[in-house]
Amino acid sequence: MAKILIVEDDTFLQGLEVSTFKKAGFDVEISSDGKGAVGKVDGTKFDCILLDLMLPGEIDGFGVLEKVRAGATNKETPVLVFSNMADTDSFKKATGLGATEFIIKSSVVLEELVDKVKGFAK
Amino acid sequence: MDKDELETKIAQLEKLGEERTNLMSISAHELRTLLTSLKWMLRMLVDGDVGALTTEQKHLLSKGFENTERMISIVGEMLVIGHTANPLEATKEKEVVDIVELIDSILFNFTGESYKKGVEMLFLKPDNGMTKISIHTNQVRVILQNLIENAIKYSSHGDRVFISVSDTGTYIRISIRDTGIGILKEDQPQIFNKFFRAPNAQKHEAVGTGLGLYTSKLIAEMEGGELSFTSIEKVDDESEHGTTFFLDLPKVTK
Repeated sequence: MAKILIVEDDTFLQGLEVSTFKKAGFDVEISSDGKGAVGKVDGTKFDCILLDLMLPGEIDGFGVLEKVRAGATNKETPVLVFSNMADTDSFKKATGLGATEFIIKSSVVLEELVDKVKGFAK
Repeated sequence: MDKDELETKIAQLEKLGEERTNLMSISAHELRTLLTSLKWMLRMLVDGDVGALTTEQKHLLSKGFENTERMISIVGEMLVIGHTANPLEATKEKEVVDIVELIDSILFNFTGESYKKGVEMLFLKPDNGMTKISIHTNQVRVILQNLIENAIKYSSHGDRVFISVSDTGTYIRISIRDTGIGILKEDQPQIFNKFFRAPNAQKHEAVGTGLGLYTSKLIAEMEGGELSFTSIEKVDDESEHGTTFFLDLPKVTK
């Protein structure tokens, strides 16, 4: 069973994402902020990470991405940035920090997201 | 007003412009987040994920889903207008870029969408190296994304989109030609009007804001260029049809 980490602070969206991915057969871990996410990626190897950019607290999505790529455990793990920050600067920054893909939340439905993650989390 | 006062005023205006852009970005993000949850909920309901629906319920919720997608498009395009129609954007430094590289990078982002729709994209690259232009890259990217997206959107499976670059003497011309539905003669005078969507376009593709071409023309003119088109409406599969947009941008002056 593929193991994924969903980093999402919006409780409602998080709930929808988690139930969809669990129904699709994934082992899902969640984090609602950057600090929690950094703690998880240090200790657990994931098959894929779904990462929001706007996160509460000191560490935002970019900060989490930096830590993921700098660490040993998930250095090569596909990280799909999943955000409604649809501007070029965010895209460039995320890509520069090693994001595997940048997906705008409002442009997809959940089943499309599941298909994407299935493709990466082989 | 002396030089120092003028410089202070300009700095204040630039700061205001930046704050306005940031506020719009944050507002757009918040709106998109709410609309995303609405979109996902409606899709789950329509797909029967939370129980079977009657035909009428499914129809109503499908309409709600379509309208949500339309609202998401409007938020996106209003953000672009708010950003690009800011006169202070035009005062920022232009960059010298290779237009072929810029088009390549944009086309890469559309490979998934065009493949899914069965529309072939062909970039006819020029042989010589006359492709450097001086532009505000982010602004021109918006135009090219709009035009390519429209070309795919208003095409059908088996259609083709041709992109080419040429030198008209005064301008570098980027042509984007599709073999899609075309624009009716009587609709052509309004095609750059704000919120206008031609009836045949609405029939072919329900989701659209009518802001894309308005914005694109605005940006082209702010860049010192022009946006124009020719079009023949699709009547049948045999006769010629489709639309070609011409984006003319000033050449780099040595």
